[in-house]
Amino acid sequence: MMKEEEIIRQHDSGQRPFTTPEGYFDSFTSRLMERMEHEGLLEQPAEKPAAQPVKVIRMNPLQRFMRYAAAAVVAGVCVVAGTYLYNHEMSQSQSAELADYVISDDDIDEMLDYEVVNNSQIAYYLTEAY
Amino acid sequence: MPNIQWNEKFVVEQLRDPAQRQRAFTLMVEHFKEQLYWQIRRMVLSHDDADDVLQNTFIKAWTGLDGFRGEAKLSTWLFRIANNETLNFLERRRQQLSLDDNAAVGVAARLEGDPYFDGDETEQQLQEAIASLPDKQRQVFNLKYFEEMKYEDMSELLGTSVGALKASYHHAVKKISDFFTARD
Repeated sequence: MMKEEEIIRQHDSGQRPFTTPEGYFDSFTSRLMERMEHEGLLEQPAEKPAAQPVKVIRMNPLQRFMRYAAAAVVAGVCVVAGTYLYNHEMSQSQSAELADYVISDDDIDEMLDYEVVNNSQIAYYLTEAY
Repeated sequence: MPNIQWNEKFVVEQLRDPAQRQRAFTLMVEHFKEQLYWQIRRMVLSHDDADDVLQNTFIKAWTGLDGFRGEAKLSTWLFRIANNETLNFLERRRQQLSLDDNAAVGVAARLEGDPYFDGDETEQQLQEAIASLPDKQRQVFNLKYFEEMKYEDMSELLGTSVGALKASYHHAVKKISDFFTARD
């Protein structure tokens, strides 16, 4: 043992000089848990509701056709709009201006008119072509 | 609570299960409360302060359970939390009281009037000498001198090298012995 440690031992009774109130350790855990409950630390997270089974609704053939027809119209509008823009002759400066070009309602109507083809017109074009 | 044989592996598993976590936590508190209390009490000296720090230690452990990966022993993890809470408490108290280097002079007088201190005048002086050490050096001294902890275990607990701990302890012992040599 160090000489210095021996000096300390001479001034140390060897007994723990600190004490606690009677029953302190016996009641500690319950007091701690009461405090934690009071501070809301023991709340369990709310249970998530059980997943509800998803109801499958089968579409009838007509509903399915209308769905595909709507998709085809949207695709057609995209193709026509792209063709319209491509066929318009534009200079370099006009190309630069295009970035700032705001499509007006008149332009949209023109595009839609270009796209809308009724059945009688289809028949006409088909017969005239041949 | 009945004396249930401690099974750390079982308790750690239960702490990971939300349905069993609270019960496992109370088992953990029952098992470690006294060890941690005396470790804290030697540093803060007052019973009321030790009680506060001990409760805060377990509350920190509860809120930090998700961060406990089981790589270290539960005792090591809890002792580290207790150490940090103790040092933080002492720092806050020091700032509140604006204590200077002569602060330890009042320790013996405080202990004399403490209903939960049974030591005589010599014991009061020993505590005053220990209180004059820097906080971390006090920790090392208490763990080595009173708890007789091995340097290797202390190194794991405090995250300090064995060599540094030995140097810290020898320095602490020299200071305390000089304290008594000067008075005797």
